[in-house]
Amino acid sequence: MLSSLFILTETGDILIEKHWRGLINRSICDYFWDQVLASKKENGSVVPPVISTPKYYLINIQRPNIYLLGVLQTEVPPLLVIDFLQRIYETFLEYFSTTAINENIIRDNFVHIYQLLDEMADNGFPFTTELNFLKEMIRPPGVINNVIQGVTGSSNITDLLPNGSLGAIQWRKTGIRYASNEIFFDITEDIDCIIDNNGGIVSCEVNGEILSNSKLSGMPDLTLTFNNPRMLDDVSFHPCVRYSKWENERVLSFIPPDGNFKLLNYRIKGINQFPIYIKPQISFGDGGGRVNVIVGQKPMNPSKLIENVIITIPFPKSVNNTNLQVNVGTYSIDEATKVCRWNVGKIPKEKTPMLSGFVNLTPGQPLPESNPPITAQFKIVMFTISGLAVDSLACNEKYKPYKGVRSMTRAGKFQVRV
Amino acid sequence: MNSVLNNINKRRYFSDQTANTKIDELKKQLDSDSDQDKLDSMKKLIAMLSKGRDVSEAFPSVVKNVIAKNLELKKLVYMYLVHYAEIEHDSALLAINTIQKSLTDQSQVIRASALRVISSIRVLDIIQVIILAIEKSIKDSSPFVRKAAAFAIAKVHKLDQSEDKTEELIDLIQILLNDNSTMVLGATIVTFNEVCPDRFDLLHQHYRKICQLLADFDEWSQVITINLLSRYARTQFKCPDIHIFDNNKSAPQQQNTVTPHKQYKKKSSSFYSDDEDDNNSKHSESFDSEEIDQDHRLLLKSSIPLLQSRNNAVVMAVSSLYFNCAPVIEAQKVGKSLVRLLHTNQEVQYIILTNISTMVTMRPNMFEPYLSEFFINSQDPEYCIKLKLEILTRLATPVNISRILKEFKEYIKNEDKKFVAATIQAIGSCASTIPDVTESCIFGLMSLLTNTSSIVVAESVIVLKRLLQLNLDMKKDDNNNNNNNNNDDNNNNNSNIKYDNIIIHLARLLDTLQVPSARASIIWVIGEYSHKIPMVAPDILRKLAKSFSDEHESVKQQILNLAAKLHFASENNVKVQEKTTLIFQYLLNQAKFDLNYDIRDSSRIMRYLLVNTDNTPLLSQNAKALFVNQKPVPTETSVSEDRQRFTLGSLSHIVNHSAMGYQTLPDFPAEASDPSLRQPKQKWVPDVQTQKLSFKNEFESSFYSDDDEDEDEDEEYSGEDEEEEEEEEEEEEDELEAFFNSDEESGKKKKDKKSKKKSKKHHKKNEDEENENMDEDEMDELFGVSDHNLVVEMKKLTLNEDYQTTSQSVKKILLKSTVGNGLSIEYCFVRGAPQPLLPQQQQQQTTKTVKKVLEGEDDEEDNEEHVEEQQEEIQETQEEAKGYNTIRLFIKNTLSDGNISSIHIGKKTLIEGSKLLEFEEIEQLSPGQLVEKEIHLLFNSASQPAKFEIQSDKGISNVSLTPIIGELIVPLEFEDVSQWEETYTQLQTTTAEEENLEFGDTLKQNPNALLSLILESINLQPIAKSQSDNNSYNNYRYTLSGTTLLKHLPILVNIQLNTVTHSAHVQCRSGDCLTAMLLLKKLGDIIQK
Repeated sequence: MLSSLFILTETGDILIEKHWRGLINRSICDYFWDQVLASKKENGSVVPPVISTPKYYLINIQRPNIYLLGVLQTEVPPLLVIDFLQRIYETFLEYFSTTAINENIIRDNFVHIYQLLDEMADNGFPFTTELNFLKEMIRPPGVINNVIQGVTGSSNITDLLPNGSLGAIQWRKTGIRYASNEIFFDITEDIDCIIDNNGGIVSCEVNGEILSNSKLSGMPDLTLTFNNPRMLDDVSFHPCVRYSKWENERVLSFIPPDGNFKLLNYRIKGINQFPIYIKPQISFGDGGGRVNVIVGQKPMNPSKLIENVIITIPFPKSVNNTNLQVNVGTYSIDEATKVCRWNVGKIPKEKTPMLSGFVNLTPGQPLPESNPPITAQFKIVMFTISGLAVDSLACNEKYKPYKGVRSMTRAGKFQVRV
Repeated sequence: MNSVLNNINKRRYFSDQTANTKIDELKKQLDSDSDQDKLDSMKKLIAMLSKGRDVSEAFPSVVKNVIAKNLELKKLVYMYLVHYAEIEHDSALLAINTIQKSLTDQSQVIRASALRVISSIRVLDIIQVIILAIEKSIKDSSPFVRKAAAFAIAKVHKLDQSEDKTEELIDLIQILLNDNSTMVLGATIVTFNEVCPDRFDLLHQHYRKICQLLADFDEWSQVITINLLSRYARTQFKCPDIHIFDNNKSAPQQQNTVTPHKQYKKKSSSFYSDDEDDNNSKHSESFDSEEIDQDHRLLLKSSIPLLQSRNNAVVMAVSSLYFNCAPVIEAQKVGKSLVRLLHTNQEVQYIILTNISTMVTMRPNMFEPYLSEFFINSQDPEYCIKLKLEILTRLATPVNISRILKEFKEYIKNEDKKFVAATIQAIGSCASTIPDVTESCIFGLMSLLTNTSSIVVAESVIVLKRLLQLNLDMKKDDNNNNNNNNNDDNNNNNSNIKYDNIIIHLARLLDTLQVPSARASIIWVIGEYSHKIPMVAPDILRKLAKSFSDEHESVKQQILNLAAKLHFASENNVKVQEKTTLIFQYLLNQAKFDLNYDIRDSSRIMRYLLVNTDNTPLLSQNAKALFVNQKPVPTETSVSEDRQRFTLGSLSHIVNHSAMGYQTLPDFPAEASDPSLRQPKQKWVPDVQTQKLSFKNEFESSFYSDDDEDEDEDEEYSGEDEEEEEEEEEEEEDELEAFFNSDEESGKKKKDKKSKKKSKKHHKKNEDEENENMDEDEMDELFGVSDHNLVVEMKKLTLNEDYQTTSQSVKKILLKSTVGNGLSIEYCFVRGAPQPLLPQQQQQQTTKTVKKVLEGEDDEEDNEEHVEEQQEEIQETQEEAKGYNTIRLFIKNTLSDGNISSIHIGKKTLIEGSKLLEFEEIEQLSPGQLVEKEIHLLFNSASQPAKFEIQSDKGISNVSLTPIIGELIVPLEFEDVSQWEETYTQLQTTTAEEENLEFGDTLKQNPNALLSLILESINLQPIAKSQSDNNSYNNYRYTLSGTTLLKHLPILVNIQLNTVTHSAHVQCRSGDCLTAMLLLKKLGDIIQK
């Protein structure tokens, strides 16, 4: 089981320490930080998630701005620790209604954080991790709550558990009331792919998730059907989803938690058409190189706008200076890393975005064999590359809930070889 | 106002100013009267603690506040207390008393947190106090507290690991293992795993329960439980792939082992198979998975849905379970889920890749379909790249190798030269495992020798060297020994490769290649295989001798070695030897004055060994053995292979050494343990909470779930259930009466008998009936099961046992006389009654029934009419009147004196869609008089009670009628069994609820009573009883059918019994899933009673 947890800043300062099985000296963090620096120095890489020290095992996860470092002494499945650290992180995000935790948020809410850590684990093993429980026992902060506490002197800790949650449906309490009953679904699909220099697909898969925000009264039992459920053969569910129903009928039957939650994750293989094409031509010759990158939209029905297109071209380290031009958007080059970032924005209908020009190589350096792969980012709203869509949503309650479905396709690790 | 601002800006606790606050000040603040001040100073203390300052000084002042009423303050004090208790343990003891008091607090949260704190104080002196607290808490009514108690046991164990204490704790764990709350059970298993991970003897009788509830555990304890059960399976069950191992055994032994397996197979097929069992022949086909012990199968079956868990650790645990405990064929399916996890985040990716890399060393075909998932993305961190390369290498087969090599070619262009070097090594291993591509790999690698990066060149040469060594040595063996017993047949295909050309090509590189390590490697190759190029080698030596003084030390060393080897190689050719000896001597002279002492030393040794041999005859005789000998091919050692010794998914596996507390996964035993060990000693009856159920897991135990209800209603519902059971016992006699067989011949007698009994029980009943002009016989015909029905039944049921249908359910109390001011009402559901007539239809009917209209029975119909209607299809009865239950009320005046008058139904509180047809007002009831009335009720819900008022001149009483699942069904007939089977198969696609059950005591004594028991409380139509297995008299199959009242959909039930193992497999299929679930639960209750 987990002995201790440390939360560190990007610069290695300790923000939070929590010990579940006796005190462990903070100096263990110095050891960890040496490792972080060592791997950074050696090859600019990140520190491995599991580090073995003479006395302890350190398991860390790195998230924007912070490290969560778990210290253990005994055998524990490492994924359990990683998942728990991740759950702690997600709980913070939800509690402090933010998309990224930083040092200031932690400092502002340190009492809350200690209270949460105290509830979330006992003896170093996850104890109460269900958000529904935590929110009932420890009220999330917020200006209004803080003022109320200040005025009335009441505390943010209660001695209550959510109604009717000690049974099987731990994710929802009874007696929830909303004036207007609404539920929203966000289908997001990320394309992870590698495309070779001829435009052929080396590997490709789509990772999708459906996030939901439920504001429904009572104990709604929902049934969600998809237009093409057979497509989803590799899925993972929130615990609320009834597995057998899915197995037998390919419908999602569930009683949703209140508020935000991730309904399911899925993975789809065999996609071989993309709405976007990227044609890079980078060749090196006498002391320099010729660069030509074209981005364009393939015909698509119905036609959708491809937005937020950013093309990242990492030039070889031997590139000295560049002379580039773009006809759409703007570009910038990081002189230290030689990474060119071309912010295309929306792909216009009337012309094809192009980046072209020359790069000069540092004299005396050997000629690069080829340019490193180009990566792309983009998003298309109200579009799923897999074609997945929600067909219907049935609810057993007396009211008719308002339903909203949004969908989006994004580039995940979208990589084009040169 | 100040405090408001304080709350808004908490960061000030972290400001330097506060950090410098004197602890003395804080102590003073802690002693103040204001909770707000105390809270403020506690927050400051925690902030200081968080900054790494030692604030233990304030301990005594803090401890005083443990008594605080303010919860937030209390929690902060607890937090501080636990942090410093070890250091300040004398002062900590002061707090114990107060905390103990909190253990009896009203709030379960406070009780739980007090227990958690007291058990977290790591002071040995109070261990007995903690144990006392745990003993008390494991009996707490709240599962939340019991869960905390389970965790506390592990804490005590960590504090004192002595044997007798452990025994004491194990006793506590045993008590908790009997708990049926999944919350508690999960926590108990986590504790079990920490305190006594090897005591499988304690698990036996809980094994089945744990498997069945597994899906309802919280995700964290699922991980631990699955790992524990993996070890359990590996100690208690036989290897599932036994037939593989049997191959090695002699034939007679094999027969012996197969026979018992076949028995198992039969059992398991009747228990678990989803398919129809009429085609039993299908099951007799030998399929290895069926030879698994049914308990083993149960574990596999209940864990497989968890592959869909959102928790990565759970998926990993299930994968490990399948990899280690399932038949190899079944284990294949976990591959897909593991690959999915690769895309969560890079930390998870690392762990999964490490595990996959070990799995592919054992079963590469598991991941072959997912080859492209392991292609490297430029954003992958370094630690993942290495693992992916290794996995790709392991997955290489002659079929996919070209794809892999194409991919590798891309990697070689990478700027990160370490990555390129790793790729080259990977190419080398592919080349050595797949002979088809060895040649192309070698040429590919040779083209890399011109690379600008020294790392790349060196790595290529090293890999080439290894490949040459591997292939040439094998070839040599082949040629010399003509022996095909080599470990590989690779070399047969390789004979067409011209190694001499490769070596010459390498030699040419010496002119241009500058990297010392690569040069040294090439020279080594030339020396080692000089016999391949006998004419070229001396010339190379000559050229090298010219540049000797400018070479790098390692190259110099190899040049000397080359010279020495050539010295021997040219032994037979005097002319060549002369020349080489001269060059050799020249080299030795050069080396003699080298700056490097290693070179000087080795030149000196060589001189005395090979040239000036006068003083060292013995050494020089054996010199050849020193220089020219068979060098072992460097073997590739992989960490992943080494990791095989650790269980997948464990920490030890990742760090590749045994971590403290690591439990090895034993090998399957030769003999499985006795399955009867796992027979639960204590009957496991799901309590109210488990009934509330598992949603994700309709798989095993889903039938308990009452989706639509919230808790209150649920409790009410189960409360009714209990009540019903009680009454069932009490009113056994009533049941006998109620039992009604309308077989025409015996009908008369029975009716007489029945009326006698009835009259005994309900005094003056006959009088009442007379009053109402109600003939007993007519009553029976009116409400009884129609004759037609039964005739058909008797034909179809080839039953050689008694079975009974009932015309009405057990009587229950609707209104107690004490509550109803002297008016008591009992009620029962009447079965087979016609659907009531709605008012407008009634009018049409009145003409027919006018003669027979009896007092108070306004919806009574002509008897003939009744039979006619029954014969018609249900659908053809009045559309609007579907789904009604007929409920007979027995209204009695229990007053000793005084009439009750104008009894009627008052205000009705019904849920939407529910309808109630009232009885006509009873004008007067004299003392002791009993009147039977009927109402027709459309519940339109499986759980929501119909509430209404009974009004009389004595007042208004509120009553409620709760639907009983057994009565929400009406029998549905089928012409014959085959028709039933057809429908049953059709329904497979809809909801199929199923469950395996152990017999209760009643059934154990008399298994034949099952049908009567079922029909007693559930209004189903029995279709057939058959032996489900021709070879055995112990297996029976019952088929029943009905139509649900709520949705008017057919519901079919299939029950398979084994009277030897006392177990039953029940399946309910219907488009109305709610009813099916409830019905299955009810059937479960009956069987387990």
